[in-house]
Amino acid sequence: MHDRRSFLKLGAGAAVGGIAAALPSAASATECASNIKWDETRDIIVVGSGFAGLSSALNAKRQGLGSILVLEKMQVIGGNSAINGGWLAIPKNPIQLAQGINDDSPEELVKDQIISGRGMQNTDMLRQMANRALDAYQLCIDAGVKFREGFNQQVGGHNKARAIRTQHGVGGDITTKLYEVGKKEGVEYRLQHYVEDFIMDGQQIVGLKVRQNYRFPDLKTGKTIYIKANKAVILAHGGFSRNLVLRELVDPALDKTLDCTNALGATGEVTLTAMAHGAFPVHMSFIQTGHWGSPDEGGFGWSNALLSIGFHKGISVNVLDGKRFMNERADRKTCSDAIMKNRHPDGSPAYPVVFFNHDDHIGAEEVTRAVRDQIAWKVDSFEQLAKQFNIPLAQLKQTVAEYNKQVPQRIDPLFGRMMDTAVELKPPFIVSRIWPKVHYCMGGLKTDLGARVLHSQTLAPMKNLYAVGEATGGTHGGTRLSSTACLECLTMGIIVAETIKSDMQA
Amino acid sequence: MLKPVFILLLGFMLATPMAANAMNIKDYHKEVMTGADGKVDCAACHGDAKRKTVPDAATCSSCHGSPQEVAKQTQRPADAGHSVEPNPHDSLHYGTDLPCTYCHQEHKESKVYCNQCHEFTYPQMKR
Repeated sequence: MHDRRSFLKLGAGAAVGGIAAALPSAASATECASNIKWDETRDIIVVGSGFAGLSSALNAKRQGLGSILVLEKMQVIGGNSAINGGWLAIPKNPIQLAQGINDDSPEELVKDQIISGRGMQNTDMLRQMANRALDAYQLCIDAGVKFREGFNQQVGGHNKARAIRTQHGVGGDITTKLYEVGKKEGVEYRLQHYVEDFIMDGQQIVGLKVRQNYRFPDLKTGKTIYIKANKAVILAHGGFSRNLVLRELVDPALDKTLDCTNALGATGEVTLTAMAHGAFPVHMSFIQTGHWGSPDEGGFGWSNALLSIGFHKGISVNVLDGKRFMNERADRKTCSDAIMKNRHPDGSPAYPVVFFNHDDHIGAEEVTRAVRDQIAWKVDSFEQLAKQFNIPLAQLKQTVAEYNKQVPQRIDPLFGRMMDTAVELKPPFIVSRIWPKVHYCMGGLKTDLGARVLHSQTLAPMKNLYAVGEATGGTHGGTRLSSTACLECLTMGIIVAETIKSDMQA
Repeated sequence: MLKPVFILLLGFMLATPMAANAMNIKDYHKEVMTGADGKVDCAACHGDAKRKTVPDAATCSSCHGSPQEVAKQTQRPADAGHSVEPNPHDSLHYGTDLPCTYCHQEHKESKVYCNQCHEFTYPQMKR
């Protein structure tokens, strides 16, 4: 526990410091473009090195847009993208077609996203993204990314099997390849470069005030330099799930009881800096939680893998009353909201449990590793399960008995769960505790279809300022459909390069 | 091969109480970083500037070899399953690009950076 706690403390400290750093100081009011002594000049500066930044930089270079500089505040490339699950939703992907699924299409993906977005999504943005999905796939293939052979699955909220997955099941399979290709093609990458402020000429961005040799999260490290951007600044700095202060300000339900799946650097100061210069924010309070989280491990963890079994083959139970409380196969928001209602009278979490049959999964990696790491336990009887997790025994038995009656009927009258994968439950069980973790910010900077950042007063694009990926808002609406974040980042990286090229020619 | 004179100096240094404000240094580095004057050469890792820098991979590589060479030393069998820990020096997320100092700390206990999210155990790791 020591390692995880110390890292989490570090993250919390960064969050507090991050807020202060993001607010332009009084001195910056005098730093207008005409007074600046530039230390360096590039054609395009990309802020952030996740999927969106890597795709933007590589595609900008390929569009012949000149010198491209990527700034990353951390000591390693990749952001959250490097640690994500490597899923990519691609309608009409080659594996899908080989499986004989011929009735999928970009429009089918958009339909699923509209349901997920709860009517608050930007349908034009979604449609554009879906229509370019195969381009994103090709970008990966051309860079040497390998996907699992014959692997194409239907994942949460999708009506079709269209999600492929990288060979190792991590986003690092993509980030490392895009980074390598970018270097070969002449993109320049700088680590430990923290964006302190924008240098504006009216509503046009002309460059950045950057802290060079910055050491996260110490805001006093490094030295200040000014980098001029001749053509564009592309913001690809990701979301703010790690910023405890900011996320609780915009959604008070996301308090400190919720851990976070994100990399430590996901603190979102650049979003606040952009807002301070007039960028228009949208849906800032729409923050997605991963319902698969475990309070017994830090960060993204292994719980996701374990619960890929638990939510299909098992049930979730409120430890306070011994009853089921949700459709275990609903989307992230529905499940998270239901889980977070499990509270003691004092408001502290009463972590629910998920359990499934041990004997059906002997030797499964998901189980073996979870038990080894003590995020799951084997219990031999209802009595042991009730005792270990302080669950009312009689009600627990009744809950399982009622559920088992529903399994052969393939119906769930309580919550409407899809029962096609359900099995009757009998001890011994594998059991784990669950609690959501803050995962993804649907909100962020408002952009147009070309990734131009809109100004909050004129509602027109801010000249030379663009944003892509999780740093932007409004596209996904109420909640993001799984396996579409990577798709968005990669496609918008393609599109922003096309936009800048056409804007330069205008 | 340490010359006898260095062995004597080393013994003398070890017998002398460390200065109150001196940083703790790992024993395996102390041996090679102590100069003829019995003092530790801080500049070997931190450079000569007044404001000390944190060592980068190039500093560590001057003795330990490149990150790729280090990764080969900790390579796991090709057919290893989840019961064998991943190669700590060749991450699926970052390749060989993680800075050495993310895990290896000279002046305090080293820790496994991966264990923000994972629960890897590396019993042979020098702490």
